[in-house]
Amino acid sequence: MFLTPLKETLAGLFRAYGAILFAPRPWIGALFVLATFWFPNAGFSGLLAAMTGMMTAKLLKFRNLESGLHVYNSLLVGLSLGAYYMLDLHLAVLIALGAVLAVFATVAMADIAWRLGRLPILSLPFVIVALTVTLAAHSYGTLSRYLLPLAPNDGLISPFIDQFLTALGSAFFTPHPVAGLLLFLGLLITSRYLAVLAIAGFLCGFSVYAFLSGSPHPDLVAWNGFNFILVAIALGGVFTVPSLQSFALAMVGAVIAALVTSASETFMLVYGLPVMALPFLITTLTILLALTHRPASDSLQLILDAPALPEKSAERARLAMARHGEFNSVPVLAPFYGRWQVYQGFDGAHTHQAPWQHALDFYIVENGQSYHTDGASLNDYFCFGLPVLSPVAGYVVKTLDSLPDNAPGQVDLENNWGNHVLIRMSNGLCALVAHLKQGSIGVKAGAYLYAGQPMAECGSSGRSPQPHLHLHVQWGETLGLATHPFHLTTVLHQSNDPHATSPKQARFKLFSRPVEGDRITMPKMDPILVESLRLNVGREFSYQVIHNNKSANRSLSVTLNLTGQLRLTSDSGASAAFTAQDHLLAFYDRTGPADAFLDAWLLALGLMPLTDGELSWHDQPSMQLLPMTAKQRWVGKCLFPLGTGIDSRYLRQWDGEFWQQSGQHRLNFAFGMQIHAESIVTIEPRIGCRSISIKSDTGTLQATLLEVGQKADAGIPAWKIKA
Amino acid sequence: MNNETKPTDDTSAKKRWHKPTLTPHRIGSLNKFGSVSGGHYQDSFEAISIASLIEEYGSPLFVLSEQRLRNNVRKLLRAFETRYANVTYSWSYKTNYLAAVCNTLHQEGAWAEVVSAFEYEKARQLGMPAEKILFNGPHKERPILERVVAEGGRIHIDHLDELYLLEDVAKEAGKQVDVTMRLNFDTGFTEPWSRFGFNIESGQALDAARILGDSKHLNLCGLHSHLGTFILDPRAYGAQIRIMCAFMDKIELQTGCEIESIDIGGGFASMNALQGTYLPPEQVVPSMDQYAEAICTALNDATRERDMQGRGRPRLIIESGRAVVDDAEILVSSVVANKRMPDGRRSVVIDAGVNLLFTGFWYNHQVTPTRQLEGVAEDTVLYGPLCMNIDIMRASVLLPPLNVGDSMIFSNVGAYNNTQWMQFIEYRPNVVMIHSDKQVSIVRAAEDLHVMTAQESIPAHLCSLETQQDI
Ligand SMILES: Cc1ncc(COP(=O)(O)O)c(C=O)c1O
Repeated sequence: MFLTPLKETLAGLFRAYGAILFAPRPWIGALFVLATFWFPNAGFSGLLAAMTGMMTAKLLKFRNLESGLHVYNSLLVGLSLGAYYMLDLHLAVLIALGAVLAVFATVAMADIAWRLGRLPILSLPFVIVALTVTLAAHSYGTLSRYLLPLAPNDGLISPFIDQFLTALGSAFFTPHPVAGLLLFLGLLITSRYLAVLAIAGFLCGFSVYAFLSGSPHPDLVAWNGFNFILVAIALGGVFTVPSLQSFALAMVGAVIAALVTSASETFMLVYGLPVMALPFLITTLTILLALTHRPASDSLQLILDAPALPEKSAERARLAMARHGEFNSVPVLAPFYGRWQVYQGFDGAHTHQAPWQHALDFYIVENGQSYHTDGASLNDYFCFGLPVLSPVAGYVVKTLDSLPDNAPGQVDLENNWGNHVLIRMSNGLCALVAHLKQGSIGVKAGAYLYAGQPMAECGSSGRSPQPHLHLHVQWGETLGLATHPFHLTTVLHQSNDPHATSPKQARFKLFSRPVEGDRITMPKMDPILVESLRLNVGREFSYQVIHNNKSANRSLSVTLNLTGQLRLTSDSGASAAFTAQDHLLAFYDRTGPADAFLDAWLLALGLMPLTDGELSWHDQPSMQLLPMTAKQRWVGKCLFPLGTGIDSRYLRQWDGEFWQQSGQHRLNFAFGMQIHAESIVTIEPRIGCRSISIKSDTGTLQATLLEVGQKADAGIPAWKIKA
Repeated sequence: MNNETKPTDDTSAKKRWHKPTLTPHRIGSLNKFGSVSGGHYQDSFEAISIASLIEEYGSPLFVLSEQRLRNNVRKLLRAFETRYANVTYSWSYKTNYLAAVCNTLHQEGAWAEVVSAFEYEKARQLGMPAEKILFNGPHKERPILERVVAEGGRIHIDHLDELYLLEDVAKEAGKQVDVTMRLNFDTGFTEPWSRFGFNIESGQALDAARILGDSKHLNLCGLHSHLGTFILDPRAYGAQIRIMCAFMDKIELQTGCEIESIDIGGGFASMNALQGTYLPPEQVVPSMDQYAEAICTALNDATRERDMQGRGRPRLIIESGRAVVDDAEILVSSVVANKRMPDGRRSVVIDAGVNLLFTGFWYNHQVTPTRQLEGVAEDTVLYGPLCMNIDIMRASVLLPPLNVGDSMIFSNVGAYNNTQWMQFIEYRPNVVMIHSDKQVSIVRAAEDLHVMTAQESIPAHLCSLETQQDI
């Protein structure tokens, strides 16, 4: 009974320690606690401050207690005081006051910083409070100075490595190689990439610091060198998605931090104050704030709203790119019902030339002809007069529908776009649908359209020798401005390329940029399949799982977390987020402990188009989902430190009673080494995923549905049905 | 068919000898059925020669074209799917339930629409999953309902007694059964088929919907109606959609049900000439696009609100039968005898009669000779082989003289003949299908004595033909 609150309190405390080096796991935080006790005076001071901060935050009911955010600034205040003064009753009082102040400062400043540009507050409150308290301490005669018992060069490993470790240790006011080693181990376990950034950042920052100052005082490096490390970690590993560019940014940051460190030292010396984390904060916050004013790009992605360990953010970005294709391309729906053919694609020879190169033209062709009878009248054309849908959600900016439709073969070169609807999306870009039929537009400027809303009919006005539909996305609200890349999403794409692997077979795509002659079909949602795979909050599934000849009963349930994210959570605590839309169920962000059963589900059902008919598609789920031996896993981690995707190909068919969905999963290691697995799923109408089987080189996993249920909610009783 | 017919007059050839004909002089003897086959002939179907077909498979002979069937259903789906988001086509089995026909259409994505235990069982035997079978019709007995409920087929309720019976079946099976209600009403365009389903104007349909709303075991989720057959005015469908959708909105509000599908039945006309119509079918039969335009425009309008609320548009189900299969099949028949009638008219006896061509009762089928006929075309009666007075294939058709053994094509016979034909007097002949790759195979073998008597059994005392003493 008491154990749980106690455990939670401890976990919160440990997380606060971990947070200083961006390590989320409590036990790593515990390791850091240990490191601070290399100098017990500082260690106890820190602990005292942390507990005071924690109690304050709890008493005042500040939110997000469990994240340790409020506490780590208090903790740092304690550590810093403990590094300079003897811990006695006087200091304890000062620490307690500082810790309380740090909590207020954190809550107040975090909000301001967030509004400023979603900036993280980092340890800014600590620095301000610590400076305040230190200045105050100057006038308190009751405090006695404490000198850290720094044995000059114990020589742990080598002078330079020791210097790095000492600098790392000073992030916790424990400038000693042994403490630094413990911290480094914790960092290494948390993230190999962060560890590399720490070393590289220190090297860069230190080299420049040493180069400019001639021979830096080793004490200054020991006390302030951690700034280079923290800048590199924050800029290259936590607030940006890892990439070459973000690595370069991290190094540039570390170098600038060296400059700022020198400046701060000179300035602070005047007041007899330590530099502490000031260079780190000035450098990191300035660079991050400046970067928020830059257009998004795939090479340097800022992730201020969702900072994460680099392995995780790299995986998120990789999966997003694999699924959504080109970064920055605007997803739009097919603007029609049924199957149409591309008349002219991007960079088309006829009219799709810069700055209008990002455009698609559609029409309908049957047996090579776009018309029946003789094509002399507009009504002979298959697509003439067919409904045109809004490809995006947004406000109608402009419409024109008074121009006559040209007789076949004629063009109106004066009004290139003909009758059209221009729609402004929430991202500020506009979608244009053009060459519409005279008098067919049923929406007015100012109206809000949902994506897929019928709004006009296909015509042949403007520069249109035969009825067709023109679609593009452009920069502003004036007709004919430069176009912006876009792609069709959730469509069936049938390639016309004879060299494509299966040209006849339509493939479901989240990113489709068809070329001339390709066919695009707006897929039909299958309501029974949607219902069969409905994952409502509180839904529970229990399975009998036979994994490598061991049988166990396992369960999965659907949960909703505080940020409104739906997750499929296994009884092991492992979980994955998902989104469910009309046409799609997609899983991502697998977290938690190892769980072969959840991994099997995610591998076999990770991306599910909920559409009718026989269907094939591709996905690139995380390599962690693939069953591997311990050795393979290790090799994989070395080869792909930031993770990589599996080449997964899926095929779903209806067999008369169930949907059968098979998947072929391949991961290419270097040197022709390949890991392969096969998944087969049966989905029963209105029941759900009845069985999953995974066969791979390392064994088999077979899961059979036992029961589906729903947790009770207020006023709604629970239910259960046997499969 | 256009590219298969050839002009008669070969001006370069020398004048040849013609069989002499008697042509009674009639004033204004214009053929009232428009196009006359007299001057045209067609010696092949889907690039296979008729003569070779007769030689291999005999006469009379039904010939199906797989490719035409596929093209027709694709044309229908293209017309509807480019105009509405959620379209399902369901093959009306009674129109032609030869397995080869059904499976061709199922391969193109068609569901099955059945109206009897037999048709349901046949669809299941062909491998159709129950939830893609719509079970219509006024006659469904308990045993078949029990099977359909167990398998999850889609039942369209026709009357109250069926509703109560189904409720009981569902209760016993311990199931919640999704059902569709068949409706009838007056669109103002056609004669209402009020004998099927629940009438809207009288309030009967609303009552039934309320009963379903209160039912513990039946869950109303679809509406169905079938206006009739050979409907030449697409506006009738627009009116049908508006009436059905208004009813849908009303019952959803009043009973809390959620309608997922709107089934508009069939009835699209095919390129055939109904007896008593004066204009040729090319001029009166609307195109699939015209039907689709009328239906989808009305449906998009009537369901705009739902779509805006993100509820999705209901599934539109189309059960068109004749328009999809009619022109995919021909009947080949041969001349048995020529006869002069007492009134002077020429008559020809052929080997196919109304036993095979049931639709001959209401259509004037196109009759096309298979070789270039010489001589003057003359008003001719075509009699079938039955020894019955009703067996008239065409009461009046302009044809030049024919020889015994000449063959002719009856066209657009795909709908309702292979199902309504009767075993009467004659054996029924082979039905062959020309595959898309021009291979030909028998899809229903000709009957013989064995087939004809297989179901019979003779009581022991009737086995011998001897006179029995003790009876
Ligand atoms: C319920 C129902 N659906 C569909 C059809 C098929 O009609 P058609 O062949 O006229 O398209 C019929 C025919 O009577 C029917 O009764």
